[in-house]
Amino acid sequence: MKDRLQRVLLQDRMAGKCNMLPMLKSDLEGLLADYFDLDKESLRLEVSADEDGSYRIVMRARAVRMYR
Amino acid sequence: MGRRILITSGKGGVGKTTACALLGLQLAALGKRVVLVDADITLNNLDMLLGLEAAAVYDLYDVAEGNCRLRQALVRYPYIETLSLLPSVHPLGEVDKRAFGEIMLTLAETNDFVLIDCPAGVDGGFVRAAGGAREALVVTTPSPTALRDADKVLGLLEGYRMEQVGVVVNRVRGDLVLSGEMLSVGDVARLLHARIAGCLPEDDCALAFSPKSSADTELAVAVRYLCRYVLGASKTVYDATRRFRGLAGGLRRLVRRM
Ligand SMILES: Nc1ncnc2c1ncn2[C@@H]1O[C@H](COP(=O)(O)OP(=O)(O)O)[C@@H](O)[C@H]1O
Ligand SMILES: [Mg+2]
Repeated sequence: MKDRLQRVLLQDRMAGKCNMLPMLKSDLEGLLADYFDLDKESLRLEVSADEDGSYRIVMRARAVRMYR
Repeated sequence: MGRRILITSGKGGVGKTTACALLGLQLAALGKRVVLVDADITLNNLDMLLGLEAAAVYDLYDVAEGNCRLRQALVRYPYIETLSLLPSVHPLGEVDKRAFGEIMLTLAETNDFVLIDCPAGVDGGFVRAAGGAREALVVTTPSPTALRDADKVLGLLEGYRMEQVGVVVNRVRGDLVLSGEMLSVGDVARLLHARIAGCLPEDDCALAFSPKSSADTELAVAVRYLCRYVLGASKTVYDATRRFRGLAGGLRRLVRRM
């Protein structure tokens, strides 16, 4: 029950913040693009809630090369 | 200047009005000057709860419209000198936020506490009531739907830069918490990322409070804890599971099951 409720609350919160996930994703994309030649399609972002109420934010991305 | 505290919830029927009245009564019993403001026109209003519905001549709307002076609209609680009520009989739809805020400020000049009983929902009525307060207590039950609504309200309150926001978990059944059928106060704190100001147990006589009886019901004890929290005297929240622990507690649990 707790886990489910936590997921629901997380969804509510992200939906409430004007679609936070896409916005955060595009912010991160912009940031990474300063350092990497990013494969934009590869960017994955996941936010989940842990048992203690904290958040786990996992981002995965692939870059073709790094800027020097 | 007195403290202006919004009692809100998002979801209706979770015990805002009850919590508002109980807290107000307790603070007033300690000699604090308290005014309860009814910003919610539904059944089970504050005036009914306190048995003052017949005493209301003017209301908040009349004050805002200039039909009467603020003093004329205030209803004194006959049993505790320091407690009064600003009732609402008319819908407040027309009362604007600024006028409401000014009335709350005026009340805070002559009272130690202005407790605002907020309407359910997060629309205009909420915005008006929240604008008049500097602190908030979010009342919820441990049920998932109530918690979802409480979470939304907590999010909205972030935009108001309140000085303090606390959650009051109402209708807690210690026996069900122990058996894992109900979320605990700690669970609620973690889920909502919020400070818990109080825990009020389920009590079949929640409304049967009589101002003169100092009956030590479980609820009365819990309200005293809440009151101490609000006064900043203690951070301890009432533990509704305690009386269901140990041997005697086990028996109580059995009885509640039957
Ligand atoms: N701790 C409690 N134990 C049992 N019943 C309660 C408790 N708190 C509130 N209630 C009941 O729940 C109902 C809704 O309470 P109310 O205070 O009117 O909620 P709200 O103001 O949030 O709509 C009322 O019938 C009230 O008696
Ligand atoms: Mg109410």
